[in-house]
Amino acid sequence: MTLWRLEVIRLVRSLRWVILAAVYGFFGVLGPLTARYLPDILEQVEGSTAGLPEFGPADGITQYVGNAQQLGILAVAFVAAAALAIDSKLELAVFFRTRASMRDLMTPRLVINAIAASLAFVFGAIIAYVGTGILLAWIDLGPFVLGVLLQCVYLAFAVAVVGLMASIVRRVVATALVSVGVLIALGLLTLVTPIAPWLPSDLAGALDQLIRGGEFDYWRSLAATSILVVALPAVAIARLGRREV
Amino acid sequence: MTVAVSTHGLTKRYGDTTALDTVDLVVPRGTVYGLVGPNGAGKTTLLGILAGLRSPTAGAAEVDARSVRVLPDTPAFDPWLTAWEVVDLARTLTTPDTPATAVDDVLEEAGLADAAARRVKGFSRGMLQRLGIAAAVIGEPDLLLLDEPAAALDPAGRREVLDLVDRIKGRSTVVFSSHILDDVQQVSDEIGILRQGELIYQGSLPGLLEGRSGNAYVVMVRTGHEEVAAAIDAEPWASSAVVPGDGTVLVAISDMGAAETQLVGVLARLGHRVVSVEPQVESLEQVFLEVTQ
Repeated sequence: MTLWRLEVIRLVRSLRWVILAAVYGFFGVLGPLTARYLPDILEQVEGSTAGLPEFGPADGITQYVGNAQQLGILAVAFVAAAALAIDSKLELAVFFRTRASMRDLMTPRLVINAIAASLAFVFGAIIAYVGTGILLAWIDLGPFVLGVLLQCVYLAFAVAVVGLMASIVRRVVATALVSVGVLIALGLLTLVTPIAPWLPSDLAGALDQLIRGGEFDYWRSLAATSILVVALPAVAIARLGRREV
Repeated sequence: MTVAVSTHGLTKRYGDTTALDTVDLVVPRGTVYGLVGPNGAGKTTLLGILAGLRSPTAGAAEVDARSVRVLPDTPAFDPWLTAWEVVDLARTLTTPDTPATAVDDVLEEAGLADAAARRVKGFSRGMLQRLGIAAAVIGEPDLLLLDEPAAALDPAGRREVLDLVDRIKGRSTVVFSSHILDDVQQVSDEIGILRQGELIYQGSLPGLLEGRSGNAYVVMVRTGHEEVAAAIDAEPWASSAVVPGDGTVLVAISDMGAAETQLVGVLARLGHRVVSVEPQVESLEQVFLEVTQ
C-alpha cells in the first residue's frame, strides 16, 4: 500500500470520484440541451423568444464551461480539501506525520486530485461535445482539445490553491470554502485589465474562447499558472512541515 | 545503562501557559517507562515533542532511536481501509523491506487476524487501539510512544492492550503515558511523575514506593482482633495497634528491629488464627496522590 494507491483508494472507496463525475457529467448533458431547447422552452412558457440571442453550436460548450466553473469548482474544492486538509483530524495527522515526510504525503494527494478533477472535466466536456454535435452542430476538434487542456491546467491550479489553504486553515470545510473564495477573488481580479492576461483565471474561460475562434492569447496566463501549480504546493508543504499538531 | 531518550531543561509554553517546565527525562533503553500525571500535566505535550510533532520553547530532547512510532490516545485511520491495509501502509511507509507476511503476524498478535479484511469503519474503540498498536509495532521500532493507550477502554479492552504492551517489552523501548495508575504499575519498569509540567519523580517503581511503607505492619487474623491489638499495643516496640474494621490489625512500630524479632512470637502466644503478617506498603495511587497534591 503506497501513498499513491492510498489516494486512488480514497477517491474510489469514498465515492468522491462519483461526485466529480456526476457534477461534470450532468453539466455536460445539460449544456447542449439548454442551448438546443431553451428557446423552445421559453416559447412554450412565455409565448415568445423575442430578445433572446440565437444559440449556436459553441453555446452548448459555453453552457457547460459556465456551470463547470461554478458548481464544478466547488465540488473539486471539497473533494480536494478532504484529502489535502491533512491536519483536520489530529489522530490521522499523527499517523501520517510520524511515518512520512510532508512532501511524500502531499505530492500524491495533490497530483491524484488534480488528475481526478481534470478527468471529470474531460468526461463532462466529451459529453458536451458529443451532445452539441448531435443536437446543434459539430465544432472543430482542435480548439476544443486545446481549450480542454488549458482548463485542466486551471483545475490543477485550483487544487494547488486548496493545498495552500490547507496549510493555513485545518478543517476540511474551511479549507474548501476559503479556497473557493480565493478563486472567486482571483476571477474578479481579471476585471483589472493590465494584469488579467497573467492571471490563472484567464484560463478558466479558455475552452469557451477557443471554440468561438476569437483571439485568445493564453501564453502569459499559462506560464503564470504553470509556475503557481508548482510554487503553491511547495509553499504549502513548507508551511505544513513547520506546523505543530 | 544506555539511554534511549533524554531531555534537558525541556520547556514548552503556549502563550502564558507553561505546559512543560525544565523537564529532564531519562528513559533507559529497552524499558517500559510509565509517564503518569493528572490531566493537563503535560504528558501529551512531552510525547508530542519526543515524536517531533511539536517544538520545545527551550531545552532539548535527544532521541537515540532509528525509528520512533506514536500511538495517540484515540487512534484513527481512513475508514475505507481494511485493517490489513492500514498495517501494510504503515509497513510500506516505515520499513518497506519488512516482508508483507509480517502484517499478518502483527495482526495475529494484536488479536485482529479475523478482522484483517474488514474495513476500519465500524471497528470498536478497543479494536482501533489494538490496530494502532499493530501499525506501530510493524517493523519493530526502536521507540514506541503510547499516549494513554488504555484510557476509555472497558476492562477487557484494557487487559488486551496492556498484554500487548507487555509483549512488546524487551523488543522496543516504550514510553507509556497514563493517568490510570494500575495500568502503569502493571507494565512499567520505570516511571516519571509529571505535575503541572514539572517532572517531580523519576525512577523505578519500587524506588518510588520504598521508604513510603512507613514503620507499620498489617496483621490479618480471623479471630480475636481486639485482643491481638491490645496485646501488641502493650509491647514496648509498638507505638499503637488499632483495628480498622477490615479484618486486620494495623500496628505502628517504634522499634522495627524488636518488632521483627518479637511480633510473630506475640501472635503465636495469643493462639488466634493468623492469616498474614506483612509490612504496610502504600499503593502507587496513595503515593501519586501524595506527591501530586
